[in-house]
Amino acid sequence: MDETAFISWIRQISARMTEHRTLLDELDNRIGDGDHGSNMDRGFQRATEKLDGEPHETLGALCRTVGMALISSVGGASGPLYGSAFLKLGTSWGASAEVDDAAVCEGLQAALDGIRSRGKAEVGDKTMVDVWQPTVALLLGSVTSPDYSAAVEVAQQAALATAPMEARKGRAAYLGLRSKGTCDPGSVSSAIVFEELVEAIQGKVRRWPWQTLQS
Amino acid sequence: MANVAILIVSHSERLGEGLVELLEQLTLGKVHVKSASGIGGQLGTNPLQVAQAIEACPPANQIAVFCDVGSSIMSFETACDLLPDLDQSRARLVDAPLVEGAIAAAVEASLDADLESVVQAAMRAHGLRKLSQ
Repeated sequence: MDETAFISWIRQISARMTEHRTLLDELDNRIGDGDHGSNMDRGFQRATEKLDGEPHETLGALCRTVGMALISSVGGASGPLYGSAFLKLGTSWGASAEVDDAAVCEGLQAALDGIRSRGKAEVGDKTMVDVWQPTVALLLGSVTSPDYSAAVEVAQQAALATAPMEARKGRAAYLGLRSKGTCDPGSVSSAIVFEELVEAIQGKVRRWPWQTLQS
Repeated sequence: MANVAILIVSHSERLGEGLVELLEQLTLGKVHVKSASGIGGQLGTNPLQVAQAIEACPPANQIAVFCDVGSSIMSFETACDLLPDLDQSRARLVDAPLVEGAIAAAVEASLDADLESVVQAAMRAHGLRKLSQ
């Protein structure tokens, strides 16, 4: 992962959040407050604007720019959560202009730690942790080089598997049992983030047809 | 000026400003009361705005912070991570109902109480009855 790949990753996330804004709003509307798509779209648009506007010399600085853009523009819980993830990624990658597979995976573990310490969610709470945890575990568990294609599949299946869960965090938790039957929108946006990460690293990613979740 | 400032963090700019209006009337301007609510005219909270509001409190003040729901608390915690230690240590999130808690806190603060007394006063709002039984 170098700076060009990183910027391409963020741009692609932004494009796909725009494309999936209505879907993510709808999922959120069923079990939360209905603005996850709009918030993510606004946040990543701001992030790409900031990347355009400032020269960067290190991956760490790029990550920090994205993290602060998300924190200051998203508005909902996903601002601090995704923002913390990118800030931790930036700390992990630091002054490098390019990182190898091992450093990519270590960075993602640091990002997951950031999400967990900010949101205090565990696996099974029907949150983005349900996607991040198994995906990062698979990447870190590889004996040789990480299997990015398998990681994308794990992320996609994990997002779909949040549908039957009962929410225990955020506004969806007020719904209790009524939160069952809908995929957690933060898990779906997380799976999209992983799809685009793998596209930026090795290309030829197989994207899930998320739009089919729309009613 | 009192020892404790009050900061409101709500998803709604109007809710935050409305509460500030109410608290200022109750405390006759003796307490620094501010809101860091909404984001760009929309519903939401902005950790940077919260961090700036904490920094802008009078240097001698401790700060009692009142949030509405869910991610406003996460925004406050994120704001603290962005602040220097000195500002972090003077702000305390209060586990109390937003309106009743902030009113109790503001009245206590206007009597020159310290942060601990202000927090205790706010937390008593949990058991406050509005109607006589």
